[in-house]
Amino acid sequence: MNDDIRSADTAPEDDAWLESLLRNGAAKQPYLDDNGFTERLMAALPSPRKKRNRGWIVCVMALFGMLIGGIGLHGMETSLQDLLRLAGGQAIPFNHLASLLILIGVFYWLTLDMALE
Amino acid sequence: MSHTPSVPDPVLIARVMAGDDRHAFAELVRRHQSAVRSLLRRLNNGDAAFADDLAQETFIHAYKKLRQFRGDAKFSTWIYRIAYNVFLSHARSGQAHVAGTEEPLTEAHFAEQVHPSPGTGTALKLDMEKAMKALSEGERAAVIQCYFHDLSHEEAAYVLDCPLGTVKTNVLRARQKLKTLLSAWAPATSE
Repeated sequence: MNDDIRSADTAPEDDAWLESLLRNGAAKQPYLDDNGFTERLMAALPSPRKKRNRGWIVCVMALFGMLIGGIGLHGMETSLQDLLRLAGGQAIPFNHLASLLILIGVFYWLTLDMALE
Repeated sequence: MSHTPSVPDPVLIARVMAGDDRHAFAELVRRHQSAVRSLLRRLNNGDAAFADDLAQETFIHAYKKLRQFRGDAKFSTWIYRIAYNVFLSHARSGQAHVAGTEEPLTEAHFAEQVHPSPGTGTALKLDMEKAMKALSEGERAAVIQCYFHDLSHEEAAYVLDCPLGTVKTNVLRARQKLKTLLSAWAPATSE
């Protein structure tokens, strides 16, 4: 029994028998055998949450954003040329690259947030 | 037979949270099922089947909310709190067998046990159960937590989600009622 309860419950000496009864009653509480309780419970648990791989959404949206942004900023022809150059491992003008990277970043975070929700 | 925990509860909890380790959760359930089921049986005036349904609901809640467990209380205390909340939600909907729904008990119900001999454990158990039914829901819950689950007043207040003073008052009132109801078990006073 907690000392806290013994001391703070204002248990006068003439209540000692009640204290003893309660303690006795508490001690007599038997351990309940599992008897399949855990097994039944585990069967009733919700199925594990599958982690969906949504990384492809982020990549596709980033490329899409880069294309749209590039077209808006530099025109269709230039953007396509930039993409082809990038795909071929060639350098593109720094200002084009910078604007594209910013757009990629914005789309990346927006779609990442959406995909991981 | 009770389980001797080889792996501490916090480690099992971490495993469940990190990788949805169901074996770890099953071990937690095995360790605490007896106490949770006992608590709910007492709160439900001994209805074992219904108490087990509530215990199952309790552990499913715990599984879903495990990420909210911050470790500032013991896992057992945390799960008692969930169990009590599950019980309360059913009590409010009228499904649980709460105190006060039966004929009020008086000393007359215990009259046949006049100064019973020590060691009559079954009679004491029955009388104790009857007396517990006579307590209000709050008083009974406080006695169960503080005496049967050996929680401190602070822990009981956490489990019961009520102020510390309320727990102390309920324990005191419960003791006064039990003293009257179980007076047949009081030792005979010498003149």
